[in-house]
Amino acid sequence: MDVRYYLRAYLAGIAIPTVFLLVFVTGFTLARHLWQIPGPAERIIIFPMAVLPNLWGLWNVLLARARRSRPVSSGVFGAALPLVGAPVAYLVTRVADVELPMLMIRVFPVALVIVVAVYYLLWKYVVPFLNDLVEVT
Amino acid sequence: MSEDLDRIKDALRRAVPPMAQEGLRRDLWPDLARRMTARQVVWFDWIIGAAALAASVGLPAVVPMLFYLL
Repeated sequence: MDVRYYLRAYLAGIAIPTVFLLVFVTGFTLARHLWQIPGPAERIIIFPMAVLPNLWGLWNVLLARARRSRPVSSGVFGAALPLVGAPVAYLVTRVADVELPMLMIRVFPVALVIVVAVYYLLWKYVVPFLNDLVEVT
Repeated sequence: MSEDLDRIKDALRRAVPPMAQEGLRRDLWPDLARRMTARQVVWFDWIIGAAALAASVGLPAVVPMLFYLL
């Protein structure tokens, strides 16, 4: 019973980044082929394609597990995920030997705050909805 | 005629046993009320969403990073 419960939590967790991956890949493909915009996305796409959905799934499993013993705010819990995801994303760029543009490095602190805010909202409103659908409390 | 109707009534009663009068195993209203109130977006979250959107528009360089981390 527990295995199925946590499997459902995992599947509910990976839903959002999987949908966003579709948007990311579509945008990248259009930009690459229609406007010849250069970018090393092929080398770092492993992060949004494989690492991030698994992080979301595991994070939701952790949330489901934590909530069985004590009340946990899903919004706050989800807002902490970028603090794990962003270093992993940076690590992927290092391993893939991709130089980030200086502009991106400069705006990174602002981007991280925005990402935390977006994660907070997604984990507060969308993830609980998905968890309800698969009957994960 | 009335004898036929009585026989039909008896046959139907024998064929379809009365349903068990079981109540609900638990009160369903608290769950429904929780789901109805859980969907309401509080005013503070509207501000957070609007601020994130405004910052993304004001700093377009963050948009690729947002997509990358989502």
